[in-house]
Amino acid sequence: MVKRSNQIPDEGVGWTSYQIVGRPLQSVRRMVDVQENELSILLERAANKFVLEHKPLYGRNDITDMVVFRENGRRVPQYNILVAFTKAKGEQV
Amino acid sequence: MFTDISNRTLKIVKKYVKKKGLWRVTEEEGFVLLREMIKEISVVYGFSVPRLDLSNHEHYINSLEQIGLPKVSLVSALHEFRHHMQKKGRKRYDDIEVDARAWSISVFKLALPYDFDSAWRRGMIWYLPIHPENRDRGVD
Repeated sequence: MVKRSNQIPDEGVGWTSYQIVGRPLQSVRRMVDVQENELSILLERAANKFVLEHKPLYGRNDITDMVVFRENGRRVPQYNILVAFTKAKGEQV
Repeated sequence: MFTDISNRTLKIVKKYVKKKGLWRVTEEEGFVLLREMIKEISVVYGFSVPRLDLSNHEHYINSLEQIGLPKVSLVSALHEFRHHMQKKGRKRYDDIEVDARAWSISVFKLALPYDFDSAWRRGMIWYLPIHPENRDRGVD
């Protein structure tokens, strides 16, 4: 059983959160290419989970924000990713 | 909404939009300006400076203190910076998204009231209700 993060609850006003397992995100700049790749995979996984859970009402284009929290104390890095969304999304100034 | 945002922060935002032309420059130049703006606002609060990168998704990585934006957006940059402030302990509302939306929109409104009203009328600020004048005229 996956223990939920105690940093943020599962959902709030216009957002929901997902547990995603991924590789470590490197903080050093020499690993920037690796980091970008891993980060991209991580965010795409969260976006896919969101779309699966919310279709047909909401889709990928309705996502407005993602906030990534690293979970502690695990051998395999686990992330709690908040996905915010709104239906009235257009260009934001 | 926030009514007590520091004048220094508001002046910085106004400077980058009005004097440095954040909305008139190329995307590349816009990202440079947003990085400078975030750096200056970080100094106001005494925080480390978060990294800003171009990304497919708007995001903030808590552990790396990294902001990602798919395009130049003042309100989005402020929203993600508020997540950085939250990491440093600055949070007014329990819901971190509500807190970030309220702070970023408040900064825009207080720093650039006319631009804020114009953007609101045109539906260019996420999560705000329909502008009262549009609502009265039955415009979405």
